[in-house]
Amino acid sequence: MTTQISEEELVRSLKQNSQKAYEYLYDNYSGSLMGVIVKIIKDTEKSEDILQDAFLKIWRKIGDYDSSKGRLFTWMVNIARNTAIDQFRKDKNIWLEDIDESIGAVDRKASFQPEMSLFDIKGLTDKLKTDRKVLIDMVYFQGYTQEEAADILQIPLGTAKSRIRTALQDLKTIFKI
Amino acid sequence: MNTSEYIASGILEAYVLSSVTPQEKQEVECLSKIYPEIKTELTAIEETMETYAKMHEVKPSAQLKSKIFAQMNFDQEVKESNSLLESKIEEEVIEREVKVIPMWSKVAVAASVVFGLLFGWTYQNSQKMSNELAETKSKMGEEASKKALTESVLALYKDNKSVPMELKGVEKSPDSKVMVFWNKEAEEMKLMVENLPAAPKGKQYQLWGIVDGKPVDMGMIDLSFENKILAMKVPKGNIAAFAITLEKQGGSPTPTLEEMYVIGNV
Repeated sequence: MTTQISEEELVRSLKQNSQKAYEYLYDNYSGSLMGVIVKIIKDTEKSEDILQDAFLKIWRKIGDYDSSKGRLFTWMVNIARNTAIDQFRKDKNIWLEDIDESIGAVDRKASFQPEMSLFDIKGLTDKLKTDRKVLIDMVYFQGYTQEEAADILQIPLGTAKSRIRTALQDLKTIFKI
Repeated sequence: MNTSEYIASGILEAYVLSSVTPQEKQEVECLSKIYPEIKTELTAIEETMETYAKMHEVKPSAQLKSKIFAQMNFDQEVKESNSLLESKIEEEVIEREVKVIPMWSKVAVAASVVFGLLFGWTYQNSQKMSNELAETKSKMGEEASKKALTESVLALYKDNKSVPMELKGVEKSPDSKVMVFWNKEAEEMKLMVENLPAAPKGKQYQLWGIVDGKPVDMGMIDLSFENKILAMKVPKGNIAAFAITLEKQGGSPTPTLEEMYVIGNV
């Protein structure tokens, strides 16, 4: 493993277009970004194309990143997720389906069966209640809005929101162990 | 404001999960700057999701890295931030310089022509020529002042103590754009209008700072604001956002929200 550098330092070097900084970024974060993309695209080869697009976007747009608004990873994961969702919609468009309808329809099945094999090796998140995990995964990994997720799971929006909040609280505690 | 209620509402989680409306997004970004407890909670959620994502990581194939890096160019080390705007401005400067040089040669040509004419031709002709010369000179002056403006804008961007911020057009006027350069240390602010509709007769634009949730006057914007860098007042306190509204000439004590043209969160 490479040595840890502070996020602040990393961001500064990235903004100065340092190759080393981008290699560090890739080595440390490409797997996490790929994890999110694969959840949406469900095809490894295509997902790698998306990861490539997303990483190049990150490189080109790093000047727009504003650390006062949040952590670097949150910004990067949004770029990766949006790139993946755009591609997903484009692919679906080929079949001239209604975009929003199709996203719901295609993913409805998948979202009820979180791919356990991809889930954590340490088994930590198994401690998380399934109904909560499903929600987090739908919103974070698959780019649903809370409203859509609540709709699909047929639960009130308020319930979805509070479950997501509790899930994150739980995760926070779990990670501290 | 009751921050614990706000935190408990779940909006911060929604923000990190990217499930908020643009308005909510602005709100979270704004409030987390004002309230440290909100910022702390937000960072904790972000870190949690970061760890969660890390646990679900999927390693891309080994050759992908070199494929991606082959498309990246690290020759030019970019100067600090605002790369796009800066490069745009730099381009402009270069363009202007290129334009300026032939301008001089034009003057030289015009001048030598004038000299030639003074000797050989009639006064009538020379009169006409000197008019042209005056015209050329005034054009040159314009170019020079434009170049000076570009250079001072560039200097503002390069000034490490000033933070450049973009105030973006709102629905009413989506193409509007105003840049402010805020030197927090010196409590100074420079403002440059990039695009705002001309103020109608009797009206004038006014800059506001949102300080602790309340709009505070930061000064009027010159009626002829084009191609100018204006100095504005900086109020005391925590400024969360800047906005420009169209008010009656001379300004109003409170902003007319329906007449807001641009806004930018800190």
